[in-house]
Amino acid sequence: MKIDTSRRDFMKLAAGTAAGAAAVPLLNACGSSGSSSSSGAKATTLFTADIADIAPIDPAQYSSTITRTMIRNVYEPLVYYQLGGYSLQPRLATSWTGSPDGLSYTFKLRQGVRFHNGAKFTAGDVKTTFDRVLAIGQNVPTASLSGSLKSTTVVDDHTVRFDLNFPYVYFTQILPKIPIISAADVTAHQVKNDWAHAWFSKNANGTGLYKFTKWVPDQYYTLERNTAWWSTAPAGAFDRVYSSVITDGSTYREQLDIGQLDLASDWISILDKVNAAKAAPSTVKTVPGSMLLQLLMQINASKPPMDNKLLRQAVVAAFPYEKMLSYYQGYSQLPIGIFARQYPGITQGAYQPVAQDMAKARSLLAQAGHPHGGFTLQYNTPAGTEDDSEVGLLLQGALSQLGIGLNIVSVPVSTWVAKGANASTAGHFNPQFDAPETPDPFQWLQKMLGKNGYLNWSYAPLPQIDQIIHQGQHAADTSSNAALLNQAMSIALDEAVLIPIAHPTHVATLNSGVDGYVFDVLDLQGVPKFWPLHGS
Amino acid sequence: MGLYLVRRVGLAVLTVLGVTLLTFLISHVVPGDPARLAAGPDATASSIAAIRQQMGLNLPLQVQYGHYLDGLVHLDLGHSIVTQDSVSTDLSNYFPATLELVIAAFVIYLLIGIPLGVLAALTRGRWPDAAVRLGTSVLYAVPLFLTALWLQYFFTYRWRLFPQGNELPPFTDPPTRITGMYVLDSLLTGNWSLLGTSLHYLVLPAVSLALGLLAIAARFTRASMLTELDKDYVKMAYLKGLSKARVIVKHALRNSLIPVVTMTGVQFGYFIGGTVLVETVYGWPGIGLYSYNAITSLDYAPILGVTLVSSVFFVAANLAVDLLYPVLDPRISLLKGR
Repeated sequence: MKIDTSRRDFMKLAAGTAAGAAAVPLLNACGSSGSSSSSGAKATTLFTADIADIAPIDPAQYSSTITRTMIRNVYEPLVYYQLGGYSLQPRLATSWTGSPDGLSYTFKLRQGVRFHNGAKFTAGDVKTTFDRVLAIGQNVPTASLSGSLKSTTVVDDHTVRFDLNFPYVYFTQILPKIPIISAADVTAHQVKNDWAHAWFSKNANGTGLYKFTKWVPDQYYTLERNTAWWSTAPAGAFDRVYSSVITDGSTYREQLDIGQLDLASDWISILDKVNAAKAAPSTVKTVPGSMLLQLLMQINASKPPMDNKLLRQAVVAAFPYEKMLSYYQGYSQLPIGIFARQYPGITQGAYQPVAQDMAKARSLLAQAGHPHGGFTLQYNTPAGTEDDSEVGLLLQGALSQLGIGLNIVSVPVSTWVAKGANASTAGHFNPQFDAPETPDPFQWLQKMLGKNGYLNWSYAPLPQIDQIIHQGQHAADTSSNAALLNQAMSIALDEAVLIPIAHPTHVATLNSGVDGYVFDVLDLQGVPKFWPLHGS
Repeated sequence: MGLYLVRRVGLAVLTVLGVTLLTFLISHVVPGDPARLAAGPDATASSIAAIRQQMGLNLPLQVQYGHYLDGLVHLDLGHSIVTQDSVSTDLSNYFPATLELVIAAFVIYLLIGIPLGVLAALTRGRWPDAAVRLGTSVLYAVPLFLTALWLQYFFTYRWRLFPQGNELPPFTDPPTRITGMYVLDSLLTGNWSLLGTSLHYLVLPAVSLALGLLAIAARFTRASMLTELDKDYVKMAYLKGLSKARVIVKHALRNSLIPVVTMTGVQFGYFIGGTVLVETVYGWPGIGLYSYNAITSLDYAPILGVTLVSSVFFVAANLAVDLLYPVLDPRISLLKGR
């Protein structure tokens, strides 16, 4: 392109530029809005934001709940949890049956469904999806399968069969975590047996209510309503979704306060969300609800002196749980154990809420051979997480009363993960916000307390827990699982390696003009579903 | 001149090489396993091992550095595990936004900082001088991120005069890409409404970036001007009957600019460094935000790539300053290699 501009022209342009800047409307992009579409109808847009970009977006590779938000609204699984509950409902599958030996499941698929690019949905897409997940072997989709899937077979265009390695009773329950992709996309974009990973890292073609239309990394992505969706969207469903990236916490809070966001991310603190609603009650509302997520603290049992069980128990007794409850300003409960009290299978009333007992702590400390403390421990926390920092400060205060010092080391998340993944570099204490993501509790037990569990930063050999995990995941039915679960709770409490600190309430924050929000209890944090949302 | 240039460019290349070595070592000794981070939580051991091999992390450190240098020679800066793109592609996407921000901040810095310094020097001991000195002291003392947050708080949150961040409003298509800088591309393509909008979005981040360093420019110019104004040649110029404006602009200011230009070259490098904070606060999609994301996810290749680009800029700015000296002061002879 030839640019031919004389000096005089340039001066004119510069003057025009200055005038243009002055003439720009002061705020031209505020809040949820309608804009005229080409047809003349007003398109409604839901504005939301997250604290980080969605990359990587390959549905066989995702891990972050930020990515999952996009994936969930663009792709669909075979079955899905009932909104806000645990029971399964048909999605791309209409019905399913299991074999008597528990080693295979057959799914009838919905007919008349099309991907966003117009391709028909068939059993071949399901087979390719699961073959690809097994081949790539990463993150949530792989972890959800727990090594149970052996193979996927196309029975006919609308029937698919899964054969398992062992009778895994939770198999159907974990399928909501696996989004179905189009086999044609894999065939068309495969490069050197990469299962089209490069293509899926930049593009998304699902069957859901929203189409992935634009993505500018680190800035925003947009979704547009799929008018050919097989199901019916609620009246007033949004035509478009605009999700931006706001990295800075205080900037996020400002956006929320002035009503520029219709839906807040769960990655900002509960207190910020609550306070935003208090600051602008006419434009911001909160929807509280219970969640499974708990604030836990791991104790590294491989690191002296915390290899002494009595010492670990002393720390458990010394922690001021009530102060953590106050910190949440009424948006939390005292936990009863490593699982939240409403998790299916937990015997209600069998466990007492945690409580501080300094006399017991001193007694245990004396029994452990350290009546006056006299040593210093380390608490590693990811930088920028207020709740985790608060736990460190409260622990520091409590331990100082026992004569024990505590260094609080705040590092970037990546460094914190790297340190925690190694027994020698993991701190004596590490905070974790975590909970089971599926109705299979043993998956989570494996991750947090099992041998070689990804987040088992307590490094305590717990053969009884390993046994429970194996029993639970290989049982022919779920009848004994409640007993196993309760047994695991008791062992964890006694070993004092994973300490429940707080059980916060889930708080969704929305523009007061947006309705239909339902929190999915099996999400670690809110992964909003846009399809039930609609304007008031 | 030619020999001098060769020597200076050679030194610049050595400096950049030193920076790559240091950055490479530092980023690789930080505890962490990028393969594990790339594979994500719950990845199978075989996936992690495959990624480690693919990234070359199983090789000795010196071999990895050798591969990195070999890639540099072929203009291959590696591959980002987060964006899944080559770092060169990422930089070509992100860098224009940073360059636009830095240029805008630099213009503000020069157009306000230097005149303020001159004003303070000419009104020495009176209230404008005191006001400039007090204001610049405050601006210099306040950390950059705090300035950015304050500006954002007042101009966006309280008074709603400017947008919170990003380069353009939602659903606004960028101008036809020529340079990748939205303001410049809007100007070049004659898209006036977009030009106004993109300028509107640029103002707060650019001012945030400029303010702290602008204070230094003002104070430096003031000190330098005062030194020159006390010299005999200035008195002689007045005695010859030259106008005050001519003496100040043509004689005193020109001579006082030599140390200011030296400092400005260094400042330009700081501008690039400052973008990390400003871009994070404003969500400005430049290499500052890109490097922030790379650091938090231990994505080696982009960290090295951004450091390389920043150091090249820093060195180039200093080289440019060296070459500007004879323009400002003909007594400085480059031929003598001084």
